[in-house]
Amino acid sequence: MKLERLTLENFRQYYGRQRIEFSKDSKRHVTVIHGVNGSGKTSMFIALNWCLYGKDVVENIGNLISKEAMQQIAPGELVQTSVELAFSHDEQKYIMRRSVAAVRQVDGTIEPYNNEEVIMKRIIASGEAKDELSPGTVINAILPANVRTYFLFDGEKIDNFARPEAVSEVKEAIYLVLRLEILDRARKHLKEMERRYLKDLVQTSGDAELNALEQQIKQEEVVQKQAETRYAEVQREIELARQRMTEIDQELREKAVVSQLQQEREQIEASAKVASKEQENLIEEIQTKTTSAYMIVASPIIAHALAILDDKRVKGQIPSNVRQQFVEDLLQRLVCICGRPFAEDGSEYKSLLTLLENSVPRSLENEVLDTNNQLLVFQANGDNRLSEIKRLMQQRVNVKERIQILEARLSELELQLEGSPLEDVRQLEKKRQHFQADVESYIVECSSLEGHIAKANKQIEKLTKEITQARKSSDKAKHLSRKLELAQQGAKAIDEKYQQTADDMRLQIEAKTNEIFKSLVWKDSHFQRVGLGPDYNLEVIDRYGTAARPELSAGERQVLSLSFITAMAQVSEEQAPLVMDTPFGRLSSHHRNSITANLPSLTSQLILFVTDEELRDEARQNLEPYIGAEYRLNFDDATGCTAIEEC
Amino acid sequence: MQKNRLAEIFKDYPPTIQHLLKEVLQIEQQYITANLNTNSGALKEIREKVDEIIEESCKR
Repeated sequence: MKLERLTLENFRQYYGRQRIEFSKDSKRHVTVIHGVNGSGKTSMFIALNWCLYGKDVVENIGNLISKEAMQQIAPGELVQTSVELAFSHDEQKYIMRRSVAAVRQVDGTIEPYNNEEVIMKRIIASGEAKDELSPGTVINAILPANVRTYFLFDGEKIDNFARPEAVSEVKEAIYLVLRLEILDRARKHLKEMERRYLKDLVQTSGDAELNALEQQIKQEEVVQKQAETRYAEVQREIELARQRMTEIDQELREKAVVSQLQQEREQIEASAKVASKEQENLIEEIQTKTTSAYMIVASPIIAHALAILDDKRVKGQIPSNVRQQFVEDLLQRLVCICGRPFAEDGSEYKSLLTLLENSVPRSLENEVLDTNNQLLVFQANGDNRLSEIKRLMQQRVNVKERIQILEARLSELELQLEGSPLEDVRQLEKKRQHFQADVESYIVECSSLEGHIAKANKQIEKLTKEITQARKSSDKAKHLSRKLELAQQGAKAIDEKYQQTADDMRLQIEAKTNEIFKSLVWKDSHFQRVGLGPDYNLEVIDRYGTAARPELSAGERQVLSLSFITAMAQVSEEQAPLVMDTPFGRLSSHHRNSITANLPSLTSQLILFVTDEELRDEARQNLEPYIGAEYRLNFDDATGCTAIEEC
Repeated sequence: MQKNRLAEIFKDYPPTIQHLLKEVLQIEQQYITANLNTNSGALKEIREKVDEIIEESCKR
């Protein structure tokens, strides 16, 4: 940043519009503004700060508007105060203007007219001015508000950093100017992200859950496979047993003594099989019919509704004896259907009105009749369904009885065969019963196995869904883990480098401060070195190797502080001017001379607000080769205003 | 140290971390410059942007 021009308009004692052109010469880069105490040096310094950062940033700014300008306006008129600063930065030219206005009231008092208004223009190569919509952001990017005091500083506070209690200020200055704040905030936010990812990760199921589910599904698949294998085995056993029974039946049929019994048994078994099938079909049909059993349940209610409607029909209310429209026509014409007229106050008219009240509209009458018909159909359907179910139930009872008879006969036949006088017949029948028992047992086992298989299938289906979901969660968890890892590594890298960077910077500042201090202080051989320890204590070590800061004179403290500030400006590589308000006021000629001899080489632009006493003799001679612009502030006691005069 | 050179202190780290930190430092710098470093709404925005940077770094 290089300051080029400052224009003041009605700013404090600067009445009207006045301008200073700062030196732009790279060799003669010092601008000196002289003035006696109270002539307006500090006001101009404040104007510069206010223009760049505004009233909210610059403390204790006081009244800005020129009292002379306020005196000159009539009630109702406005007076405007503005400061305009032209500067360049990174080969771009800018003009920034901050203004505020006030209005004179009838009673003579001055009231603010508006808030601060700030405009910034960037001048492009063609000379055209482009608006910068966020001047504050532009200025903060060039010279942040929180570090401005290290570049635009008040000479009265110049020894701030050399005070014994200034440790925190030194530390803060390094923190802000050297941008450690950026590292600190980045570390803080990365750690916050770490915590957030960790929290999300806890809520997201990961590989552990997926593995557990996959284990479960494997177990279920084993159970399912075992059940299916056994089911197939049992089916084969049933087949085999039935085959053996058929063979026995064949053998029994071939034995003349029991052939008839066996044939009868086979017929009965065939009939029993048919009857069983018939029974199954009947049960299925009954189940289907009973799903519409609500018709039967609703039957009494329907009957009740129909009874109400019948009652109304009997009483002549539905349909009504007389049509509503017909009665209305008679009342309108006042003539009876027999042709006899009647009066509106007569008894005929009243009778017709009563009739009209009892009649119902045609549309409602139709709806009632429709409902009545629907109810009748509904009732008929319900009755039919009930008789059908009754019929099916009766059929089922009949079939059941038939089966019972057939089973009883089968038992008799078995007993006869079992008790046959022939040993081989008895043996065959015994074996047959044995196989029959096996089949029955296997059928029960099959039923149980079917249940197991169905349950396993259902469980596998459920687990498959869960695994699909868990795989998605696992992918999410992996992604979150990667993000967590990056946030942790980023924060760790800052942790590792933060202290090292801070120490490097501190050591660089220490070396630079030492170098500058030794060049500025006149007792350079008395002081061995300047130290800036890990505790950020700015210390001066004397020739005896002892800490000598408490013994420093006021002037030496200022030199130490100035050395620190300029060292910091150099290490930070901020391209900012050094603007100093009365920097040498409390310095002896020795220090003034050494500072003026060295200061121009420490910065690319130096602007000094000085009293004549501060800059005379050797100090003046030292600066002379570097002065590119010089102004004098002439305060007029009669008007209370200052005029800027170019020297 | 100049603000644009702050990221250089991480030059010994893996490229992904270098890139991540360069982007995060840039965001922090932008918010400090815009004087929004203490604004609570802006802090939420910063965290979202840091999340986006990390997300982007995951793809590298």
